[in-house]
Amino acid sequence: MPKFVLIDHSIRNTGGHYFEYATHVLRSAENAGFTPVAGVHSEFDRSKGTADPHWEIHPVYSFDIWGFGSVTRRKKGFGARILAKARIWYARKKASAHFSRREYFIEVKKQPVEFLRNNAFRIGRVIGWGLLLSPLFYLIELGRKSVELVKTVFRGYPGNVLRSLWELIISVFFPVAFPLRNRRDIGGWLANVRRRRAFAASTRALFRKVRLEKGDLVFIPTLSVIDMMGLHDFLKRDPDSSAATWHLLFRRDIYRGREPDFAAQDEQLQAVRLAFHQLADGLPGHTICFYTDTDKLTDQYNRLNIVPFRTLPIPINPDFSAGSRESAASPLTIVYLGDARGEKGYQFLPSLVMDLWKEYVVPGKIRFEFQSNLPNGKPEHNAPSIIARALLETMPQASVRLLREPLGSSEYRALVDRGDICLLLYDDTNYYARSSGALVECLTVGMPVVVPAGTWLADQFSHQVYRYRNALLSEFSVIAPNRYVRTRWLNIRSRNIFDEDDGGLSFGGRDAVSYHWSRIPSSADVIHLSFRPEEGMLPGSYIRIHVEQQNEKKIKVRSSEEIVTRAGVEERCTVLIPVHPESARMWVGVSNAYHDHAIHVVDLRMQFLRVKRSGSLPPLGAIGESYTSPAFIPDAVRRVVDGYPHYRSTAREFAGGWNGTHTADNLVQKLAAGAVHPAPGRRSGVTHES
Amino acid sequence: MRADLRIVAVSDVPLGYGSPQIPAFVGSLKKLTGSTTCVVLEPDRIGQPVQHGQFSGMTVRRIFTTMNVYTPPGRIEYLLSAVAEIDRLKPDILVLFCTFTLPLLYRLRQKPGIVIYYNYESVANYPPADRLANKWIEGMVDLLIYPEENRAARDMEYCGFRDIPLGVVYNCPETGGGGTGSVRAQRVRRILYAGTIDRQRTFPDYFADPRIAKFPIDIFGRISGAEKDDLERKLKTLVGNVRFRGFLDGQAIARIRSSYLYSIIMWNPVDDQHFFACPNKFFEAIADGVPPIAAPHPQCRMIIDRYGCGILMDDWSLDSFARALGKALTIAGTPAYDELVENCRNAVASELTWDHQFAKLLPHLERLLAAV
Repeated sequence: MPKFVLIDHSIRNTGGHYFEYATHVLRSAENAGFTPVAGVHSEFDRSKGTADPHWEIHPVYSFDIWGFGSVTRRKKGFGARILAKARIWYARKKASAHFSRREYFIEVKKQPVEFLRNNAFRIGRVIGWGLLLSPLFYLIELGRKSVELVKTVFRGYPGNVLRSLWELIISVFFPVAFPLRNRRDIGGWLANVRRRRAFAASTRALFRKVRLEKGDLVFIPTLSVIDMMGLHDFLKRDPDSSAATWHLLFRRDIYRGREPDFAAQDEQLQAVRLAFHQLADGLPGHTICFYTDTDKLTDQYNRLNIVPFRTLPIPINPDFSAGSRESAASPLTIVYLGDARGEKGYQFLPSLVMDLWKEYVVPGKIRFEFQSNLPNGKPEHNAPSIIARALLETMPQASVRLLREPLGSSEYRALVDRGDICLLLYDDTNYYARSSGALVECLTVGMPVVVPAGTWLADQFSHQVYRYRNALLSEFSVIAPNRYVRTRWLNIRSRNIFDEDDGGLSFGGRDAVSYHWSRIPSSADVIHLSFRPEEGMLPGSYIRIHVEQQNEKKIKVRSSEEIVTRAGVEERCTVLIPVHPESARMWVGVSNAYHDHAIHVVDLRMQFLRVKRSGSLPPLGAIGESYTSPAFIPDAVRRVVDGYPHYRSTAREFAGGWNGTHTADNLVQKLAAGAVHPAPGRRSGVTHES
Repeated sequence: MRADLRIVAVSDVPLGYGSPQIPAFVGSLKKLTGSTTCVVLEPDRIGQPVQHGQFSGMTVRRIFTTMNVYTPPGRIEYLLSAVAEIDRLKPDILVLFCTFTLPLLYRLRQKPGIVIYYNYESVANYPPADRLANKWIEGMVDLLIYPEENRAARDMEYCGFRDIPLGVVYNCPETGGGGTGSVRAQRVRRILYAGTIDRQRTFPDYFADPRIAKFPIDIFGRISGAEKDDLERKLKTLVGNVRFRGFLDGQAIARIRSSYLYSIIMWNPVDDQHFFACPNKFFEAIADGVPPIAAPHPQCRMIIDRYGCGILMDDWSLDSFARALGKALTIAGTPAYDELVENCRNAVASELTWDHQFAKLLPHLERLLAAV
């Protein structure tokens, strides 16, 4: 049987995302007729967990994707322990010395007059200190004047000669001085070289134990460019490696921000481009396929224009399915999945809990369960999350349950099963293009989610939300369609900029917002704004819509914000904002959400709507909710909780279409297909059939 | 827990002049442990005579120094005297208030059973030697307390604080019930500003601006900073409806606060400490049922957003200040104002009391006390 070798050097134990990912993929590979083999971090101990006993697992890698070596060895090292203790002892002595009598003596000499004045009636003290201070003052004064004299003498010609002489001496020692001056950069570079060599050596060790043959497939589901270069070194020196096909998956972004920001970063990525070029052109006998796991990431990597990338599905636990969850109990359980990291928005949780406490937690409508294990690393790098966990720990456990340890597969599955709403409060820049396995799991089981707008997460279901809203319009009647309401749009110079020809509007970033003031009819239930972005809208452009409602006294009663993007060819971008009972007027601002370039939208409609059938307002969103900034998270959660049956049913409906896409079987099939038909490259010889 | 634990606390300010959390915390700790020996060491400061009668149940000892205690030699003198006193008293629980007092920990002969470090000021505002002192306290401090989440996070980024349990306790006062009944008729139609007046740290010049002059504001406070004299002259010659009324101590302000419509809370966000402000007067105003008009310092924003118990400025600009004052006066005397006051009461009932805040530390304290 051909072998399916999965290399994940970040797998240290039988738990966590990396292990889960590998398990699902290897199981599918086995079902597809491959012999599963795994290469993992050297700390991995299969006896401690649930790894399939007959799989071949080789713990050979010394660094993970983050460059962390052996954590346990670092902790246990005797020499390191002694050094650390000596360092602490020295630092404490130093800190103590700053607040000693000696330091007092040094400080008080700067204020001799005050010292004498304040000790006017403490003659003994003054004489005692005076005896000590006088010679010191004398010496200091002599020293100061001598320095002045030397400075004056050497300020002119002799000084220049001396300086030149000094520079000459320094240049003699250039080979020593240069590395000392740039030791941090050189150290970082050397560390990368070490990681690269270590990856090559570990891979060599792995394939000494696992002999590669024709038809074998090697899959590396997460790797950095440094690791890739290590792989290059191995492939170049090991002729047998060309027997297998190699599949490299890159799951991290290389560009920061969104597409309009990319051009400015191209230059900085030259080293990455050269690395891909070296791998593609330096190995003519190998078949290497490149992947990412989101289309946006694929676009980013393809922008390098060296080797072609394709998008792979995100394999999740096959046990997750829309039918796997029981009906929602009361109170609803709101969960946070993943480790406690700032990037995942853990720091927003304490405030969110307190914001919802009185209205929802105390009456027993909701409770919280948060995965709360802290990632490896220094506290300095994860301070907000550590503080947040400390705050959450003081809250009643019956309402806020924290899971402090990393979760195993079954515990994680149980947490997802218990959850009714999932908070995925990810960083909206970091996750613009990156994927979230947790989101895929939630959407697969039909669990409503709360996610940041303008990210890959929100984009997964935003088109369905527009579709839902467009269909919902039939449940409303339009109140007094007023031409003025539709067409009176001003810019910063108070000029009306509504385009009568295409019913459109142009606007830019924050300083070029287009806005509209109008009164809100007393019978209005909802403000409706919709449009189509013009065809020429740049990729990565998002539109921010801000609505401020005011009462008769012009005092703000509600502030709402949405970020929308192109919804597909058919769907209009539709925003529905509920009217506050006290609202009398409103300000609507439309702007480019993240950049300054102009955006033009057409066929703009703005109306006030009233519910046709008397009764409560139907939910204005579906599947989940997105928020534009952390301040709006509580509102997003409130909307989902208040309309929970609706959000749950739409999420389940959505799960039907979503199921079957992100499966390990699908991934293995695509890898196998990729091995047979590698994607055509820009240049000949980028991918080579063996 | 052993009976009759000895508590010693070291304060960075003379008691009774700001920092009400010092007597509040020591008092609560004493109540929790049932201790009969409770000594607070305070520095001497000219113009701030002893007010020991105010603090029942604790012995307050003033430590006199030759040099001004807020100069480097004066501080060292204070710390070394405090060290001698602590070594003599051999406390079971030592409470250090602020980075100002922390270095004495490095000079003690023996670490007390429990050391609590209540750090209500940002470490970044201290000299590098203090950062060093904060960076190596692992194993020396058993509980770290902060009044504001973001300050704690910033200091942790700066100093590490590895493996030290941490609690966040808001600067809520010990008294106050959030105001009572309908208050519209009982209040003068004026707005209070009480606190520091300093050109670098606050915005005193706003009060002299014609856009603000129309608003009925009473200013109380001590003028400080480099341009103190000029500022004092300016404030004393204010025209319009804004009045500078001199300095009143905390107790006197507490007595008159509830007769005002609103209380202004605004620091100039010149650094982390001022941006992440956690002003006592913000919580005191809410406790007295006087809705604050606050600049958007994160903690003020969070509380006002959560309870709707005040008016939040959009930013720190003069325009925003004027808009907020205008909005405040527009709703004064309407049911919306009563709602603000009611929301103050709700906030106090929900979490903004000293007892509620202290209770957040109980899990940590009970664990520590069980070990001594």
